[in-house]
Amino acid sequence: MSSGLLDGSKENQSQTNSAQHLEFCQQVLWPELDVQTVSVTEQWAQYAVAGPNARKVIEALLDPGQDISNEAFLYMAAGAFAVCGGANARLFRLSFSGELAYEIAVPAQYGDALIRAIVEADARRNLLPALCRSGRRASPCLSSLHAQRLMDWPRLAAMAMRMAPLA
Amino acid sequence: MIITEQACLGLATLAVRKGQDAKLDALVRKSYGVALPSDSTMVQGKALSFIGYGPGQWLAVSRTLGAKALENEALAADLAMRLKALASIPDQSGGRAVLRISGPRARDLLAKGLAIDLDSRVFPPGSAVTSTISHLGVQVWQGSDPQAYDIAIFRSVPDSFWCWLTDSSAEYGYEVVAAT
Repeated sequence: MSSGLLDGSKENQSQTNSAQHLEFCQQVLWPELDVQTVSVTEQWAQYAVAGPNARKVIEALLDPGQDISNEAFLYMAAGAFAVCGGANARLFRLSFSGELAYEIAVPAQYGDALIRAIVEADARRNLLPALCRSGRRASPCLSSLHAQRLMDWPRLAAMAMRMAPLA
Repeated sequence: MIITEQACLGLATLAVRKGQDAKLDALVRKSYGVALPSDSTMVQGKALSFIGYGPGQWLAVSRTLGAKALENEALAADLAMRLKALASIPDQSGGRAVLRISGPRARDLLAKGLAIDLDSRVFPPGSAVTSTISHLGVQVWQGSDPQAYDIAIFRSVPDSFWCWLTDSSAEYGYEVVAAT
């Protein structure tokens, strides 16, 4: 029987290739490890929020009682948070622009609601100079958002670590 | 032809940890009243179904919609709580859209895009397969209704799949019905 992940579509080729590389690592390089890999590429919708007021925007989304101050959530930190009234989110503090920046991910079915919440948080405070949106048009019965790959996280982290730490 | 999105389903992948196959199987039997399938088939247990899609890998699907259904991430949470350290169980509820296509011509429709023999002699109720339709990765399974097929597609490509589905259904006529 073949693996579903290895039979992915052409449009999901990057996901398929990642699964094959990881399967190779498991079977050939480190067969002794007790590690399972599965793609969650499609599970998460993720947005980058960058700029000097990025923290204020993210704070407006967080449920009460969670601290992402500079001291509590350092540069290159990653963690699980509750946002918008109980949705599970993954927050990453990293920057490709040189500005204070975060990436925030939620299960993809909440992706549409999250970008609306980000826009609303921005509209109330006029915090962000521009919004970059990565999304897809909804089909007649299915709302969908492109779920950004998290597979490249180690490579991106290594790259980001070479950048000067941000305030 | 009736097309229904199985909205708010709980979906999770279950991957057995090293050397824990027997313990996992025993605990699944105890918790959900069903044995994990060892091949590409679906079994229906209490509250959920398991679909085998690779060695030691299953897709768990909450069985029904309703007040007591394990919707969205509640399914992965329930599995993780009961099966503890015997398997890795990421939530996939946001990663797939699941459509149910039913009617006397459903098999004819799927024959236009799925290179799998769905004749009931080789694909009886409880069968499952991982393949492609119109170059899009799909998982297809059949529950108890021999005229209905459930199709899971990656959530980033439903536009493309919807185009194929509605174009291919046009000659039979189709109705899009909200899940009840």
